Amino acid sequence: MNLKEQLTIYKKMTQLEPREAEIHKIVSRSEEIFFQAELKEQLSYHEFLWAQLRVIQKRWWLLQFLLLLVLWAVLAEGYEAQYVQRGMGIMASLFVILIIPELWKNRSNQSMEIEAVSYYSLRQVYAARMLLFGVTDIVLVAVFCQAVSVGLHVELTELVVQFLLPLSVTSCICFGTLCSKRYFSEASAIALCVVWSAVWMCIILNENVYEKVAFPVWLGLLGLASACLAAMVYRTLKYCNNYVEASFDRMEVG
Amino acid sequence: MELEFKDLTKNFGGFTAVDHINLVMTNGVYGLLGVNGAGKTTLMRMLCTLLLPTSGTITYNGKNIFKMDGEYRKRLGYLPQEFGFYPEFTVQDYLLYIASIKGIRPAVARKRVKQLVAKVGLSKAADKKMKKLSGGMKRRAGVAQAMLNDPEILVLDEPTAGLDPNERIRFRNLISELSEERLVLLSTHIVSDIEYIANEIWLMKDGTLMHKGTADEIINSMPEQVWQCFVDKNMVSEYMKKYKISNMKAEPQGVELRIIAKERPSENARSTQASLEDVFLYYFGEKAGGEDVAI
Repeated sequence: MNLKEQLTIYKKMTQLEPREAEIHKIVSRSEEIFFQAELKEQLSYHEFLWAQLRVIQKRWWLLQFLLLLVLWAVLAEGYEAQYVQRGMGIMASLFVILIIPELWKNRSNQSMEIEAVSYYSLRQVYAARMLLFGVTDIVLVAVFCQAVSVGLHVELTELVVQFLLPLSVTSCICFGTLCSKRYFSEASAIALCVVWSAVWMCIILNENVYEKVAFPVWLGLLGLASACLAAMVYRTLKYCNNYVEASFDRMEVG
Repeated sequence: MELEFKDLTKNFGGFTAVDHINLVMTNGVYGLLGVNGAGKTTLMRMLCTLLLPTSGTITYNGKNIFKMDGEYRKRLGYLPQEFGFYPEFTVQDYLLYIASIKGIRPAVARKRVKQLVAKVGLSKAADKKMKKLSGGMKRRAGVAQAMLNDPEILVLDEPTAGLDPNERIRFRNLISELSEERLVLLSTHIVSDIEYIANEIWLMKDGTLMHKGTADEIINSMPEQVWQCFVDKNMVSEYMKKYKISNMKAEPQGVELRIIAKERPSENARSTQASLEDVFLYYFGEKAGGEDVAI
């Protein structure tokens, strides 16, 4: 017997015949073990955050981006630059108004009761949505400020006064009305932001007021608005789970 | 597993919605029966930790549920009276979203959603948007979301409100099927919803529990008898003033009345077996005939 024949015989002897039924059994058993292991585990916070990201309608972010793009284009035109720059406050309010439908989504769809009794409660749902909107909006606003400051040579002081200050105040109104002790619908929150926007325009277009307020004062006001915003976010997260108590006037004692 | 209500009270301003309730619950179906405004929803909302009691507490195996946080909520399934959902989501996407806030891992969630959609009879509608579902289908999707975490405690607040008789029967059977090895608390003002499936029925009025027990025990607790008799049409209003009438049926020879009274209301009246509907009428009186109440 030569080596070739010996190798053929050896190959036949060591050849394994896979049994399909056994393979299926092992696959099925592995799936079952995996499922049992998954059953014992809870969804991690970053997975929960990812699930929330998937739920948020991205069209609002697209609209926010388009709004900043339009503002950039108008500023680039340079037509009556002084007044256009002062009009940035309206766009800042609109920018915030665009997140209201998503933040009010569970409220307007009456989904809060089910979310409040889940493992990740309403507080965590709001925290996740605020985090996602916060991060995205900070990135969008930072890119916009960079673009108009470097590309269009709009002074940073102008951006702080004309854009960031009204943006912060509108955000304060938005988070102040969400989960406040008095019930505010989506429409009333938007209306309050629009009223603020009109008030802001009256202030900013009045030369007597605008010229008299020094930049450090505007900066101080921005600091105050930011602190107020942080307090509103904290209050929203603290009290959102008590919304049933807060909305008793509207609910039926069944 | 044991849930205990200890001297549970809830006040809203000067109004007492739930008044010093003491109860112990273990596995089984509990039916909470009462007219609108009896405090059923407030009691259920406290059980779901949506409302904090003014005084007293609820314990789960001896632990205060209001301090257990997520550890308690992960054992809970809840279908509120006004079931809210995201209308643009498909049934499947909606259930997967609820699974995510219930902390269920994706592999388990996908399997559970498939099983539950089949169980509640929504397999064909799994890819339909929630807003396109009929009232009954929405309630079934509501039960499916409540069952996603395989809860030990299932709380269903008026689950059959607004459903047609077919859907109500189907729903009843579904709840019966889901009630094995868990505690189900079901509130309703429709007697037939709980008559056949509840192991224990609680009658609730003005924030307090008037009676509790099996359907038979509650029927036997009524101190008056039920009588049936034929009367002339002209006499009906007089009988209505004098007695509690649980049913009347117009016949060619007169009107057949079902009367709740201590003594025989007329000579031709014959005593008959009381039903839970009669007891409901007896205890809730005029309110039982309110526009929102269906027997």
